[in-house]
Amino acid sequence: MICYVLKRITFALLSVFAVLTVVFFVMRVLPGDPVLLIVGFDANSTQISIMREELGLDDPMIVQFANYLKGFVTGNLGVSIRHGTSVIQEIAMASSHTLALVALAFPAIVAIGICVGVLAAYKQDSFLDHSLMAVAVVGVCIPPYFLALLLMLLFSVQLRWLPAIGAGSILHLILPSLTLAAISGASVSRTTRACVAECLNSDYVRTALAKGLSRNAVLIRHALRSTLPPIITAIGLQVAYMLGGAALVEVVYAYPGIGWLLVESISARDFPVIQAAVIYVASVTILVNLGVDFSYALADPKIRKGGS
Amino acid sequence: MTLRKRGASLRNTRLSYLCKNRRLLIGCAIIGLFTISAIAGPFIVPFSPLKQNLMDALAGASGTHLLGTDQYGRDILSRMLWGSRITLTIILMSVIPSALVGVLIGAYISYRKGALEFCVLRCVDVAIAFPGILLAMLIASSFGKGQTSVILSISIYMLPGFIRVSRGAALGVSNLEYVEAARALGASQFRQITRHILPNCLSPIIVHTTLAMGIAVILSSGLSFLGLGIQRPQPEWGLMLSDARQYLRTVPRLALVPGVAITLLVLAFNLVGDGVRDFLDPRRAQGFRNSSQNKSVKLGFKRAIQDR
Repeated sequence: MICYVLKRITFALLSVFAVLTVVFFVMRVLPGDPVLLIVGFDANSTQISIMREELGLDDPMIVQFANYLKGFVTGNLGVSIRHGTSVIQEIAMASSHTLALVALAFPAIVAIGICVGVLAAYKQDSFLDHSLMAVAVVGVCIPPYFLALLLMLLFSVQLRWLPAIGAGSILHLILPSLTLAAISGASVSRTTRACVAECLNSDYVRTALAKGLSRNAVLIRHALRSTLPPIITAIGLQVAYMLGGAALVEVVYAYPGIGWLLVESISARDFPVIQAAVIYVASVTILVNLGVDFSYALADPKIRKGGS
Repeated sequence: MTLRKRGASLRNTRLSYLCKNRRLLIGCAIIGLFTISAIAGPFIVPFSPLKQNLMDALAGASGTHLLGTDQYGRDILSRMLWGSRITLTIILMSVIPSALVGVLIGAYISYRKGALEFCVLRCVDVAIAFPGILLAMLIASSFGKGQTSVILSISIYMLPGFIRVSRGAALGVSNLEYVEAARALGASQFRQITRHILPNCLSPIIVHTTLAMGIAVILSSGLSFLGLGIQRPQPEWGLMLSDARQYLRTVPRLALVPGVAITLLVLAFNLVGDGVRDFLDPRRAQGFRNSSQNKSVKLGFKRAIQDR
């Protein structure tokens, strides 16, 4: 088990380093000179060269890369070109907004996903199963930005119950998290249904039923337990997706989360913020995947004992 | 029963199975309709999708404009039909090359094994940890806006998934005796891979390709929705949706038409993917799903779920 954990952690650290490297070099090939954005397009050449030196853009690539890595270790990520505030501050602000969304959506996803999936599998091939899964397929296929607009149309424009855009109160959180919960819940419920249905058709469940256990006991003790790992994976992926700032949903609701920050800074070419936000999102994804791997190991004795 | 008769009856069962596979039929029908409108678009659209007619702006549905007109008086139906041309072009030009390259790499590393396989797989792991829409946004913003960068970003984004799925699928085949026999007969590596290994592990790859097309639709429209993809005044669905936001209160039809079009196309690709999987792997339809091929497909999906 310890070996497994260490291996996973090492690999996660290596992945973060790989992401850092990729982002650094991608940023260097991006068109558009960040210096011009800072000093203004009508600046003369001396101003530009002073700024270049200040930003360290004249150093050799390897020195720049070392400085950049040092910045990450010491938490000095530079300042936002747009606002002049520190990048760390911007990221912290945006990610706290996104975290609030996830905190609201997560219980809904687990509840919707597992309940609907188990119900559909339990009533396999009934009308209920077919209609629930039909809804889930649509939920998986509908683009997040379209669902967001539809919910906005219904709850803000027609019913006037909830504010359409912005952030600030708990009411602003409801629509974005509902959108996320619907889409992710549909996906989780599909996975749950497939796994539980497969398990309910297996020999050992038949044996358990034959020896006289009630259907509910079999469902909870045998079927749910053994199908937990894939369901955990599905939920973990959804959480990673949301924590990464479901950019498309946040943009529709003008909700100032991490996804929105990223889109805004890409269109404004705010390089320090783009860089930090991308690395933040990728690291969060890697971290969540790590957590999923560990919970997998807890739920599945084969991994725990095999150490692979 | 003579051999020929048995062959014919087998074919008939397959054919009738295909006809009974409603998901596959419905999916193919929808894709077919969109394909027809994409190919025949210029001949069947009643109005030019770009020509503005401000006198007719925001007109309701009528005999001349079946779905009404948008804020510039352009016919919505014409724009919707023309949009399928743009979207399908992007899908074909991004997913198919990506699939070809990915499958060749995947099959090759599963055949060669060793350090090469290890390195490629670790790179794939890192790439998969990178959230999809982020990667697409980064690439799109570094190559500039427009169709080429959308195609490029989607194909780069899809590549690791294809490598993983095809490697998993080829794994079981590349050790079989007939491949060894081909090698003993002096077949070249390329021939062994393309003639002997790949044809026998196509089903998970086909399923993955179909589902990848659905994701590509969401992604390409999403990029345009964010303003990073196709630019105005092109009748791209995501772009139409983005423009419709201003008129959500007054003319919700503007958002509904492109939104429903995107959802339908994604739904169709998903239905076909599920249908093909049932068709190629009848065991799955009966509830047994634990073949190694399906496992590899599941791994590939991991990413698919993550990135909607």
